[in-house]
Amino acid sequence: MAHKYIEALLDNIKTQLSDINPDMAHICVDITIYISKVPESKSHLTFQDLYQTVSNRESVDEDDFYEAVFFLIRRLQILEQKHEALNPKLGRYERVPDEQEIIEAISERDFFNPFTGQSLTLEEFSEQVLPYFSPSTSFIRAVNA
Amino acid sequence: MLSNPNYNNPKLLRLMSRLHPTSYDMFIETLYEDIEDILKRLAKDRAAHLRKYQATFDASKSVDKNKNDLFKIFEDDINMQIVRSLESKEYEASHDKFSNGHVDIYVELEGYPYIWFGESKIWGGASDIDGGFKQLNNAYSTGDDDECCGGIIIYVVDTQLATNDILSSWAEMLLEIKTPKVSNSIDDLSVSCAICDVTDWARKKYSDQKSLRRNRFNSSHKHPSSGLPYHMRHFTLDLRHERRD
Repeated sequence: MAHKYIEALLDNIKTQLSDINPDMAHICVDITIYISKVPESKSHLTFQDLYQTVSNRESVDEDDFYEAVFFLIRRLQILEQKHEALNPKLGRYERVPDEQEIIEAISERDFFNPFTGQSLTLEEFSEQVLPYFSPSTSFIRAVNA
Repeated sequence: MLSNPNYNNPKLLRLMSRLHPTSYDMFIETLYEDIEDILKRLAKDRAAHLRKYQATFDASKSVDKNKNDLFKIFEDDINMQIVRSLESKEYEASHDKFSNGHVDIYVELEGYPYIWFGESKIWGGASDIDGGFKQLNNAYSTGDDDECCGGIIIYVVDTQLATNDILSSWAEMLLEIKTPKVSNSIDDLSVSCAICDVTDWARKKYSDQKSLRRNRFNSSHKHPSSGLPYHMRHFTLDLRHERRD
């Protein structure tokens, strides 16, 4: 069942992308195969983690890589984008209390620390608020069915 | 290693703006950057597109009565490639969608009310582009705030003209279009958020033709329904395998 689901997913990626952007298709396939193996254990994947799954290829264009990650999030919905931020009181990074608030902050270029509310420059925000990714609940359910 | 996977990476910020625009202007600005990227990629791969359609072009030269039909197939194929490329960038795009007429390229974004319309045509003279322009300006859009932009994409396939000359010819016709609904004065063809607007473009043309470095221009026209400005960007996509000397 899981095998068939992954096969269908990979076919879908190839159908949608192979002739318009084959490199992006390869990246999507590599990441999909990687997260399909024990997906529940991969709940905190950074961009670097995902990049390492495809960086064995001769050359990976960063634009294609980022496009591929967002394709898996938005179009295929097998990955979810999340954020963690520095909580100064605890001195460690924690999942942000409100994801939508962070998305809006980025879109509006109005940066702040979600735990303190303190305004931040883009540079400070980039250090204090970090994106990470998890396989989506529906993906995990389908793989484990 | 990725060079910079944080939010101070302009690429990442741009992607987030595409997925979560805070205004119609932001949606359009990002869409135009994406369309430019797609057109560049298509132009880069033009040899493959033309190989695929060489038979079509050869046939069109010997069977004149079918030329328009054959070019229509080619147009539709390129339109579909643009649509599919836009879909790969998370837009909801479609070809030939009905919106008070069949739109060549229809773009929206899931969760947002924003719409952009595109009309395309293989260059066969400025008068051929005029039909698409009128559909775009008069038929498809309501002219409301969230759908007040559209585009013309001119596919350059079967001509010896330079793309700059093609745009020049089309812009001159645009400036001369005499309908009660569309301004025919250069000064009235004002443009918002223009990188190279038709007014500046026309002025540059007469003072220094070589100053035009980008093969595109923007124009604004009074929308017949809303009476508000309807903003257009005019693009070219050069698909010729061998350029003119």
